[in-house]
Amino acid sequence: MSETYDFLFKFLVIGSAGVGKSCILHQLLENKFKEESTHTIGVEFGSKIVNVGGKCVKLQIWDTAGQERFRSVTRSYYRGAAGALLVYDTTCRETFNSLTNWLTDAKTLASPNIVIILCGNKKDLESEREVTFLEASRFAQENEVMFLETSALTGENIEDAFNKCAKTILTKIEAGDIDPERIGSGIQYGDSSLRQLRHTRPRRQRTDTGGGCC
Amino acid sequence: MKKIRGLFDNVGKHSTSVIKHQHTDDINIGAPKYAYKDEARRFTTNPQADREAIESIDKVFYGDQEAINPYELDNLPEALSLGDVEVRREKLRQQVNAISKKLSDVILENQPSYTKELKDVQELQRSLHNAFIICSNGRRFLMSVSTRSTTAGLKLLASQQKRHNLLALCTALETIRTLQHTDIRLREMLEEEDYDGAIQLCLECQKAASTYRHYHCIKDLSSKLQDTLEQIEEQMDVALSKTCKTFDENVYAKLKIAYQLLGKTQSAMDQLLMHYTTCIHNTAFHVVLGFAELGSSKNNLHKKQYKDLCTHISGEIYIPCLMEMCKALWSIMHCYHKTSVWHKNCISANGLDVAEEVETEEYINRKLSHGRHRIWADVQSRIRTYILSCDLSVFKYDDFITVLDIVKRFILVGVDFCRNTIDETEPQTTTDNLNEPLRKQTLSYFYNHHKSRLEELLMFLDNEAWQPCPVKSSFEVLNMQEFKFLRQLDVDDDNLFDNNQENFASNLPGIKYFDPYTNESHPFADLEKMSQKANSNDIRQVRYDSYEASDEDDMDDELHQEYIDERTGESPVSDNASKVLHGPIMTNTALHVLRLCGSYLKMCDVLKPIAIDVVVCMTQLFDLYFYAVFEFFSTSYEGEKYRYERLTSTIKRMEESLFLPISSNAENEATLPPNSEKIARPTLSPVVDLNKNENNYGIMERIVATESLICLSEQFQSLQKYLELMIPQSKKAFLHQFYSQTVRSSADVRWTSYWEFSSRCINMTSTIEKMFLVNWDIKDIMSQHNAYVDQLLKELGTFKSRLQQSVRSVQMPEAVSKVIWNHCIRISNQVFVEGFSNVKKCSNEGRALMQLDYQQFLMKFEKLANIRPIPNREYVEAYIKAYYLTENDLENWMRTHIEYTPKQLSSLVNCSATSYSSSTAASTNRNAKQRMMSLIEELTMRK
Ligand SMILES: Nc1nc2c(ncn2[C@@H]2O[C@H](COP(=O)(O)OP(=O)(O)OP(=O)(O)O)[C@@H](O)[C@H]2O)c(=O)[nH]1
Ligand SMILES: [Mg+2]
Repeated sequence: MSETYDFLFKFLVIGSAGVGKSCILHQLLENKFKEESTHTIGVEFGSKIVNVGGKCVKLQIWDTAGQERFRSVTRSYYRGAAGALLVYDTTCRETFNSLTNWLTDAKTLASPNIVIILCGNKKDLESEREVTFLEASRFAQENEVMFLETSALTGENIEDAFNKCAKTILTKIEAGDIDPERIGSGIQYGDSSLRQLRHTRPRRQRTDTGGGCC
Repeated sequence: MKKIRGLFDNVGKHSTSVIKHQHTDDINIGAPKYAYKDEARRFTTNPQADREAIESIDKVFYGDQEAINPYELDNLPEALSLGDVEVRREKLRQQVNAISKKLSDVILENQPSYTKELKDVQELQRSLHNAFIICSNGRRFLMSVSTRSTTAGLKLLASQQKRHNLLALCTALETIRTLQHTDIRLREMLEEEDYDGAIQLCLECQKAASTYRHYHCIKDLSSKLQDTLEQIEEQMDVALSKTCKTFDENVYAKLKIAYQLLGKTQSAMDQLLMHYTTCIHNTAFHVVLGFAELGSSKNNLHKKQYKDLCTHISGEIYIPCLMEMCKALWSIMHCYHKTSVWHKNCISANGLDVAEEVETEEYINRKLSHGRHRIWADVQSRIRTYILSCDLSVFKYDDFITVLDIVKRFILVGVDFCRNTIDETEPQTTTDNLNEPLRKQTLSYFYNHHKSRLEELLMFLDNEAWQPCPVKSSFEVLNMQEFKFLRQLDVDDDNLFDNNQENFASNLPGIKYFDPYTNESHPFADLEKMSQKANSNDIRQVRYDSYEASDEDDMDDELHQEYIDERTGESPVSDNASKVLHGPIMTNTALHVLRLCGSYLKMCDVLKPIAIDVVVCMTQLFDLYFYAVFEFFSTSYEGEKYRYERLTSTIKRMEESLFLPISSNAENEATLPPNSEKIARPTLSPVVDLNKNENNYGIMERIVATESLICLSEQFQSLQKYLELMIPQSKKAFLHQFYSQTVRSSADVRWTSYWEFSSRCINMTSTIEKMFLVNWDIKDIMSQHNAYVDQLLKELGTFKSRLQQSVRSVQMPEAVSKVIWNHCIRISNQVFVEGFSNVKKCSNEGRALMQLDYQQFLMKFEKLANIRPIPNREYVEAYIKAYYLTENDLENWMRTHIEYTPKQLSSLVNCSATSYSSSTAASTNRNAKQRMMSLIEELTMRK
């Protein structure tokens, strides 16, 4: 079954172990909370077609393991990601503290252009909160990433997080800040958009001639 | 005259005759009248004469009148003379006078008595008159009395009688009134569901009504009662139909008695079965309608057919609707079950002694027992239509499994429902109605699912960096989350077995899915909970605590260390490459394959009929992984051909089955998915560079890839017994083939994938060049090997340390180094043969030197590579020794040793030929050489 979509974005979900990455993905795909979640081994995968700004975007989402021992495996999946959800647990300061490392990892291994949204998960556990909204916002601002607080349990802001990220990428494409045709951009054209977009997009002067032309 | 005569005669004799005369003339009561003639009064006074005269009177005159008149005339003489007549007349006159005189005398004589008598008569007359008056008065009085007294009496009597009648009427009216009121009572009784009472009452009333049917007011009642009776029956029918939905023993018992009263026990049973059918249809319809209306704004849905309606059920309400339907249908079946159990108990409990009743009960029981099939068939057809109405292939896997679980459970319910009531000849058909569409849906779903899983796997492969994914050293596929159900299955099977043992004694229908349930519970509760849980977000129970503990790789010390590292803020980017992985080498993709296998197996388990298709597809997952590993790392193999050939045939089969339209090779039956396209071929992730010397031509990736394949095949092997359990006996050959060929040949990939590393790391040409420089045409036996051997060994030494250095993050399996060293010796051997084949001129001593060199090499190599015995040494040794063979022997030898290249062979021929030349004639030598060259050509051609 070949689906039709305008773009395909490669997404990552990263962050320390147990912050709820797999639950977030599950909530996005199944619209329900994953009850019995165990630590992810290596990398798992899910895809979903979302409608962003009138475009059909297929998200190819890699849910990585947060445990240290899988780091070398998960890192090999960073390459060519167009967007990433960087998740921490609002009820666990340590996960917030290690964000910088994750951020550098993503920027160096994926691409400096990668669009990242910071997600403070487990928002539902308000009583156990260890990281305030304010300090997380400040962190996001300083690092120029978007920020949302989410809950994989209630589903709050889950879709929004992905949509927001996808939307930003789309805007950047349209503005010409991202070149989807660069190898490793993490973006592919779906069949339907290919031609149409070529005509409408204000194209930057491109140095490589690798992209196929009609 | 006559009177008078009579009077004369009867004077003194008949005195009463006058009274008698007067008596006859009762009204003429007056004085008697007498007429006297003048003549008669002229009396003589001569009594003598009168006596004589009287005595002379003819006797005739005392006779009859008629005789008197003619007598005188007749006695007239013939000769009539006046005298005579005068005489005669005189005589007669005398006589008359005498008589008259006499008579008057008598009269005179009797005058006083006459007067006296007359007075008496008058007196009598007067008293008679009085009597008459008294009589008539009395009569008159009597008359009036009689008139007066009889009417009253009769009236009285009549009244009495009337009273009597009225009293009777009164009771009748009383009864009638009750009769009229019974209507209300009847209605009450019906409300109280006292059917038998109502019927009894009704029947009594009917009897009463017929007794009073002469009353006008009751004429209607009778027919009305008939109506009521019918109404009661109708109500009972309604009540009976209600038992299909909620079975209440009390109500049912009442109904049964009531029907018995009506004498309709048996027809009620038929009716009941009909109600069940209707109920099943209606229930299914309404459930679907309810859900369809939920999901659609159209309001004419209720006019649709059930089948059309089913198509209105959209994806997200499909499962709740199915669940609801199963529950509803089950509860109908449950009622049916309870009904039949009730009847069964009825026989045993009441100990019916009337043969007729026993017979009826048996009839009912038989009927109910047979009815189970009808009910089940009806129920099945409803569910079947529902299942087939929707394209399930777009469902999420979990949802689909839920559907399967529910239907599968329902099939079990059905089997349980019909248990032991079937002809043993066809037990399978009981559930075919559901299994078949389920199979159809599952197949179509499954192929769809499989297609996208393959595509997903392809994407995994395309992104796979061939990095080891750390797993516990005791990693076992069966411990993975996805395989947990298998362990459960084992337990379940045991339970099932136990249950079977138990149930053998009382293998009654409904024992498992009906008897243990009350009205509130149902056998789908667990499934419902699952599906509901899955659909709602409001489970606030967070299981984080248990989560850490139930981590399938429970934390070992090493892992714990990492956590501490993270806590102390160590960078996640920290280089942990120095850590050596001790567990089996797995890749993320291989793990993904296993995860998929887990979900596939679950499908097998859930629906056995398509198990073989699932298993076939599962092997395709393995195939794809196998194929990718082979394609990525083994293409430049130049080692032993036979391994390669075995592999290539396997690879070729994979190519055909994976990248050509999918077909279930185990089955001829048309299970081909309709529009299955080829999937793309996997491509190696650009992250991996196999051509760079710096990263040792990707030796790490090679090892990880190859060893993960081997590990995968080992895991597959541990799944074999489960797979065998899943598929039918007849299909086992396929599995056997898969394991004995595909899975086993994964070990061969070791040989092919490491080749490139060895062949690229070892510089053959420099050694060969060195060998070329050696003078082999020597006259003395040498005791020292040539320097190139040391050089080759040195190179292998560097290779060894390079290998050791490059493989850091995983522990190199023994088998791998063995294979790699095998490759090295093979490559070295080739170096030797190739080097030797470059020799133009060679003496026997030179040949000995070759052997010396090779022996030296072997000795050192053994130590270096730590393998013994060194494989394939004959390859070199035979080549060296072939030099010594005679012409004919060489010819034969060449025929059998196809492993050498034509160049190597012809070199051998050339070398040998030079040595021949000393013993034989040059011409024959040339001939022989030519013959052998053409033989080489021929052999090459044959290859
Ligand atoms: N209360 C609450 N618990 C959550 C939420 N998201 C995840 N959890 C819980 O957090 C735990 C970890 O969730 P996972 O999604 O497995 O964590 P992860 O980030 O994938 O962990 P790794 O795979 O080891 O990296 C689970 O026990 C979840 O139940 C949330 O939004 N609210
Ligand atoms: Mg996870």
